[in-house]
Amino acid sequence: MEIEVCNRPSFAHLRAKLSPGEVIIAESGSMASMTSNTNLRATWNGGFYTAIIRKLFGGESLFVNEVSSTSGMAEIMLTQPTPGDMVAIKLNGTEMFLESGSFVACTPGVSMSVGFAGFASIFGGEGFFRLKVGGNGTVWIGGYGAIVERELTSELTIDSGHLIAYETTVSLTGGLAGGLVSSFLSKEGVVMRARGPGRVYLQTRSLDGLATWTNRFLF
Amino acid sequence: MGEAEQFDGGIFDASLEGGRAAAVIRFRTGCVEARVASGPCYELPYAGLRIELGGHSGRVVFLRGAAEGRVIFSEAKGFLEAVRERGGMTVEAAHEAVTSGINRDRRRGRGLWLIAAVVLAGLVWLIPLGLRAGVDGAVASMPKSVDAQLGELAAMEISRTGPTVDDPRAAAFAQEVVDKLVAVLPPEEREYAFKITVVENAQVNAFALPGGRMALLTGLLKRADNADMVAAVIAHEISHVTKRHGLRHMVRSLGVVAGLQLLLGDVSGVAAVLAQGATLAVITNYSRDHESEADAVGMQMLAKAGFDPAAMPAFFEKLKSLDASEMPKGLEWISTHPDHDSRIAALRALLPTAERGKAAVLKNSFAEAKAAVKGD
Ligand SMILES: [Zn+2]
Repeated sequence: MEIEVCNRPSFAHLRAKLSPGEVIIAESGSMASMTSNTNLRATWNGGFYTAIIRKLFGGESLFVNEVSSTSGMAEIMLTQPTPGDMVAIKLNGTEMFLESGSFVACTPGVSMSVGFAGFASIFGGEGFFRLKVGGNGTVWIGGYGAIVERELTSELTIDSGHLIAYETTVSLTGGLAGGLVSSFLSKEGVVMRARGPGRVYLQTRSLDGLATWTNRFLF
Repeated sequence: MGEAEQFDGGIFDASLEGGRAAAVIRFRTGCVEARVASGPCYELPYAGLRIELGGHSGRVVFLRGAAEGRVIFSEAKGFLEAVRERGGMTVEAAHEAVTSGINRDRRRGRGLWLIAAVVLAGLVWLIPLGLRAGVDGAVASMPKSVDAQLGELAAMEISRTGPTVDDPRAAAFAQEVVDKLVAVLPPEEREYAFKITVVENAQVNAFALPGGRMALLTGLLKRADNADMVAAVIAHEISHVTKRHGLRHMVRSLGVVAGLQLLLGDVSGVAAVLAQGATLAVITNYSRDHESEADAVGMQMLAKAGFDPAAMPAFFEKLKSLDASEMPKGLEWISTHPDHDSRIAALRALLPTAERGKAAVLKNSFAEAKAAVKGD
């Protein structure tokens, strides 16, 4: 299996070459092109119930595609809806939470489930549940803008909407950057404080503007 | 507890590829040991051990050595107690610091839970009140393309009902009635793509899908006495479309969370749910208040377009008089549109309010349309 992230950082996409017997799991809808010897099989995203819960609470798709080759070398291209970078993260049996929409693909050894991400995770703007990846393998995530990896040594303050992935060893607490009144008026002031040990992945742009726009439709 | 006791967890260490790995943790004499899957074993002596709580849940126990860098952690049950038990006096102070913190948080936590419970109880009471208004309001603010997408999903419902009748006498007649009715709609309601298909099926029925696609069953065409009766049924169905009953009903019946998802424009997700066997009846069966609304709105439309508004209650009378044994499936429209007598009464009461426009003149003949279709 040969997988590389091309066109970084602005319009990154994944190019994967699969020999017979090799499998990659891709977010449904991420497939931009594939050679004719590619086999696509839609499977429940981490099992039926996980898929439903993930759909309802994680905002991710119900299905993922299991991509393989029928004969010879199959070549596929995977993209993400937002313009930005993608990175590969190697999991050594450790676990990570992914924010909604950041999952692009993973190798078959990676397990997917839905996890309660703690009460403070609500400040990330996506509810209490997150896609949790674990096991052994590589997972590719995408973000809006560039992706910055930070190994936490001391506490890091992160503007909500910029966090796209973090290890489960990271503790998050919600907070207000400015005063209470200005925070409520602007929403700008909602931040998260992340404490390690562990890694966080940040995107340099935020979908908050878009979220604010769609949230108008709620009530 | 013997030597054999082990806990699932992990370790951070600079010498590991990627700096961390899952590990199996055991408590030895004098040190904690973490063994990673690739083989190597890492130790932290009890002396100088610092214990911290953290992680996403706040319940991950981190053990740090005196030297920076190496951290062994686990979220497993009993891990913290095991540290204390096996580490003995050496870890007493560190353990004490952590557990007193936990107890303080627990006390504070209880207060928070109580407040949360009260707030939740309030919400549970308020949500049903707000939701109906909220759903209706939210549906109103959604683009009309959502209706069309939903209708597209349910389009197979039309072909499943029966083969399409291509005979222009029937098809053109039905579409002309639709066009006449649509012409009197306010401009913003005319934006839906109203298209009717005549379907070969003996049931006395017609239905509409969100977005404007409709089906008229040949059984209804055969049983109707005149064009006004057909127009009455179609006016009712058009009203389901313009009042967006399909979308409203779906949002109501799929539940709050899925509803909100749909409101955020995630039609594809809902499509997946539907494809997984949720019945399409969710889209095509309407609630009683929607039926009443479609009757009332439909009657005004019918009259304004120049058809006889009295044809609407008359059609129901006609259905009622049809003998059930003579036509076993004939009461279908009634069964999906229940409460027959009160419905006729309500329509009669509305008659005086229906202002009839200039009498509709159709280019296509009702009699020929009726003759063009088979079915009894
Ligand atoms: Zn109806």
